[in-house]
Amino acid sequence: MIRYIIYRIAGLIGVLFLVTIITFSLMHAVPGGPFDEEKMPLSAEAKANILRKYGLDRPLYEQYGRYMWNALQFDFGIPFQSPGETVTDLIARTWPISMQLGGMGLAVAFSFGILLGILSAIRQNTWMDYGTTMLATLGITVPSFAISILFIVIFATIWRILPTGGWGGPETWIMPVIVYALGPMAIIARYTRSSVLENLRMDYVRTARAKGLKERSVLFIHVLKNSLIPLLTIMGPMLPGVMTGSLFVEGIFRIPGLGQFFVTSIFERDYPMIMALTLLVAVLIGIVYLITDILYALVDPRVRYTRGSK
Amino acid sequence: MTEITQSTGGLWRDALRRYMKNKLSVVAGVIIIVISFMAIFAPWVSPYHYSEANFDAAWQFPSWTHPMGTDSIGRDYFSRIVYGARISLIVGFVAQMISLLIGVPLGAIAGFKGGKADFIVMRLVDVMSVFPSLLFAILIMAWLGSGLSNVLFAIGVTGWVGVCRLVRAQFLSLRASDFVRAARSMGASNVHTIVRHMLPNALSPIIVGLAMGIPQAIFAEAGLSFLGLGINPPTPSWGQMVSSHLPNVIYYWHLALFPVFMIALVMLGFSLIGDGLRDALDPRMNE
Amino acid sequence: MRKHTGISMLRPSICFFLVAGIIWSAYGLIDPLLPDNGPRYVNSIGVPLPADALPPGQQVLYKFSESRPYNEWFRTVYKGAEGKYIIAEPLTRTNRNFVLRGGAAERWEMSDDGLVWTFHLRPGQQWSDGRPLTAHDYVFSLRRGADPENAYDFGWYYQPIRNWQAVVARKVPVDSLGVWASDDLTLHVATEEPTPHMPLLLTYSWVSPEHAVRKHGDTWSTRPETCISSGPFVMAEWTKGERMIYEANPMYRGADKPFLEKLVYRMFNLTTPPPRLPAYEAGEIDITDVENQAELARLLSDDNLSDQVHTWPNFWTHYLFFDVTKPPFNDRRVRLAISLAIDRAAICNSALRGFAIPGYAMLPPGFPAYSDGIYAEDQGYDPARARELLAEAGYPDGRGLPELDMWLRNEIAMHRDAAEGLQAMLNRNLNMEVEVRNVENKVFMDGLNNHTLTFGLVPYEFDFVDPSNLLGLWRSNGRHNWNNAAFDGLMTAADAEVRDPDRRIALYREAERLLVEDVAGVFLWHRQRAQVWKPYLKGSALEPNASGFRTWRGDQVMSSSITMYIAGDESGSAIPGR
Repeated sequence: MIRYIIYRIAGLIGVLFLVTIITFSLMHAVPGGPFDEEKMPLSAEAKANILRKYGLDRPLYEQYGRYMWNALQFDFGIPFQSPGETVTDLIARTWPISMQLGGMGLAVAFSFGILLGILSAIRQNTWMDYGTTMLATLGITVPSFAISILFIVIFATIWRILPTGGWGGPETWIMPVIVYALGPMAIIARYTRSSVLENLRMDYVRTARAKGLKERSVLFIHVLKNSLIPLLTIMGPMLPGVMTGSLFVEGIFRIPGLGQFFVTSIFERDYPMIMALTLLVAVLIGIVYLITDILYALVDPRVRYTRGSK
Repeated sequence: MTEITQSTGGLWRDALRRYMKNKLSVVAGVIIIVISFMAIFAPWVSPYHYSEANFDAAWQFPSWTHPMGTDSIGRDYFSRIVYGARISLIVGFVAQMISLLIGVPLGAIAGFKGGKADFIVMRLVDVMSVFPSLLFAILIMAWLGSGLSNVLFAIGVTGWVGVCRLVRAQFLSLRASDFVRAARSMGASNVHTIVRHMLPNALSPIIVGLAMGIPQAIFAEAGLSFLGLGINPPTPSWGQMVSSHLPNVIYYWHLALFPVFMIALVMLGFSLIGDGLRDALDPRMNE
Repeated sequence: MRKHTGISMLRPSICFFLVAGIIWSAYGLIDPLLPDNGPRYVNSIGVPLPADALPPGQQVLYKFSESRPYNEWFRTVYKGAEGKYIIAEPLTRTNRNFVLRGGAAERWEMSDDGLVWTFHLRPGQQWSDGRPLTAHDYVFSLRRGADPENAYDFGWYYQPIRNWQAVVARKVPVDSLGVWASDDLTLHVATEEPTPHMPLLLTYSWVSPEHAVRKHGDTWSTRPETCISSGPFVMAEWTKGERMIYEANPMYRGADKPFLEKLVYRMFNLTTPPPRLPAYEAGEIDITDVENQAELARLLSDDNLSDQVHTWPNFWTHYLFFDVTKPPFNDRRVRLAISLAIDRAAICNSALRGFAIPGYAMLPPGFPAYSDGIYAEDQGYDPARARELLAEAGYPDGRGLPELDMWLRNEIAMHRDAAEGLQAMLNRNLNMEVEVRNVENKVFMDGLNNHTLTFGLVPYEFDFVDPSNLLGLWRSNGRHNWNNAAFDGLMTAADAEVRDPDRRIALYREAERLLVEDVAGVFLWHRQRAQVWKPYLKGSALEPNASGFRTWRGDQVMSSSITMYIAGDESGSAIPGR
């Protein structure tokens, strides 16, 4: 197992290296630059001053080399869209907020998602099942920005029991967390349902029932454990996205999190920030996949890893 | 050879019979078929052309002449919804097909073969999947510019990774299962084992994924439209209509409601069809 | 025991109501006897509040503001937060009728050759840390703007100043810029050419504190501890991405002392802005922009809210531009045909309802040298004539025209819809196939600045109320590639006309006539803006100015957050919900 982990980490570093190259090339292939004029064209000299100030007058390979060299020493540069601080400062300031939002959202999504999923599976084709399906569908279907606006109008404008936005005490968390949780909750509920249903038909369940085990213990001991495997597969990729914030939810509820920067960085051609965010998410996803695969092996004894899962 | 065909035909006939038993799924199927017809025969279904502007009749609420009202330059909203079905279904299907065509074979090979094949595929998957998908899609759109084919490319090329991982995971666990071992010990070829034994057993998560994936692609298009990176006007897409008119919901409610409703309907339809197919195709299902 | 407690609990409350009742009735008796218009309160910086104002503790204004990294005008304009306008004192200001008046400078004069301006600063002005505000600070600030190391993003604006471009180009050192101080209170600004609107340009001289910049570097303006102010307000808190709080500056000695005690900006991100009207209705903010027709319609349909809506023209022109060097747009007849094929009134009544008025020239109504709508006749809607012109140009019934892309710069839904309206009109009236392409800012500006866009729709919002601004962008080798020597000549003559303001205006009118008649661009509409103001917001901004505009530019400090205050209702008590 240890050899496997080391092997995977080495692979991850290679992947990260490839990712930086692809991102760097792609972002420089996009037309426009970070200091293009907004209104009137600047003189060529004025523009050259700006480019020189940020080292953008150098050839691309040199910019890339310099970036990587600094990044290895944990210097990720200065964000063009917020030059008063470093990229590290900016992420340190905004990310914890997104993590808090994401963590609360995930907790809500998982508890309710799994509950709904199990309920609709054991009551398959009843009103409970259909109701859950409808609810889950609504959760994914109606765009989060639509639900957000609906919530704000109802709870803040009409009833005035919650603030329209901001990020302070628990009263400011309620609406964004619920909106945030709806999508993942719906997905989790659906996967739980289909996975539980599948497992209920497995031979081992029949065997367990035949042995005279109570339905409840069959469900919770055998079925649930085995149903968690596909859940792990979907939870993995979900985690980094959820933990790095949502553009829409954070924007609409005025939450000073990291989510907005995934879009503004591209619109502003904020090269250091694009690189940093890609790296951040890449590292996160890499780690999450690694952990998922390890857990996978632990939870499901049918899957065993020796080197490269042969 | 004949035996296989016959038994396959029987399998599908059985599946169809089981599918038809599920009333909700049948209704969902009808809804999707109706919407697809609407999309294909849009010029005959819609009372006006989608870009026909009547400036004197702007901002109208639903009425007998305009069942879904008119938009800000007096275009019949119902006609735009009907034509919008085209773009949205194309985006949903084609982007999802791109994802499946890349994802399923790669995932199957990786999960079945393991070893070097798995290593190569998984590194490819790693590189693709560690990109924040929104960031990647926006970068691609910013690079290529707006337009239908670019949207399809951006959504499809970021979407296959999930399918691939799912299929691989299924194959990994199936490979160790008794019936696959039995099949292989009886000397079945790899292709035969994959196609006849493993793929049908891995089908249900793929189908659930597909049912989820189509509306998600429709949504991804809405998100890109929201950021001004979608399909060029005046061609209507539901995603674009939602993102354009959502702020209008507080007064001109019809402009936001109808496209949201249509997306919800399509999504519900595909989800229920997915459920029905899953139950119907499951070879282990007895009843 | 229990009973006793009950009574003792009851008793103080009875007493309270009794006392309150007595005070209330006594107040009612005395109130009419008090002088009507005498100030009841004086705020913390010594400004007597108007008679109907609430006590200073409640003079707090809440609003949304876009999150941006800096707060200093001469560091960056486009990445500077809204606070940059209220923590610094410009040399000059304009009043609500756009007439120039003093700011930090109380008077100024021009040299005989028209090339040097001398500004005399009001004595006794200071920074919030007690240091005097001097002419040297303005010299420092303007040099900072030109300094190549500062890489300023608004440099084009100050180009009339002598040596500005040479400094930017590193041809001469920074201190050779044509700005110097002869003593602490006397500032001299030299120009390359006579520039009569120089004092007007210097309304944009929100000064930077030399000692703070030298001590704390570029980020001095981003923390309350180091962000010192020469303006009416001073920063009290900046929690990045959440809120910014400004308080009335007790050290301010300038002419524009505010009534307000505090300004609270709740920050948001522009890429996905929060819905503002719900926050306004919930009472979380006191003032906000109305963003679209649904909001406007909703406000106007509600009797309680309709009085709170204020609209005003924003000196903002949307126009179609062309690459006039390439066919088909190198033919004036094609450009004119496009102008005649567009029914501007129809667009303004549909997609832009309530947010625009039809326009036929660059300068909007109310702007100096406005053409009084004389071009509406020649360039107004006439599809038959448009088709004729197109046929004359060799494209009968649109045949032979290439497929055209109409480029838009990251437009809001309203303007995208308007562009689709234009698309429909051009298709219907000229059989012209146009694709609307709304692209993000960077892609658009890249194309615009390199003149690779052949056709597009773009706005220009004024920077200062002088025709040299809005017309200046049409000079040769500027924003567009319509190069016209006669136009340049007229503009140069007008810009340099220092003696005769009437002749200057006439020259600009003539220049605009060339612009419109050659159809350098098709001018379409002037944008109107709307805001909602809570009924308890009062101030001179709500009274119409000479052009009849109320709340012009609304809450921006150039006009009114200084004169704005929070009023009580008739009994002088606080507003519910605050």
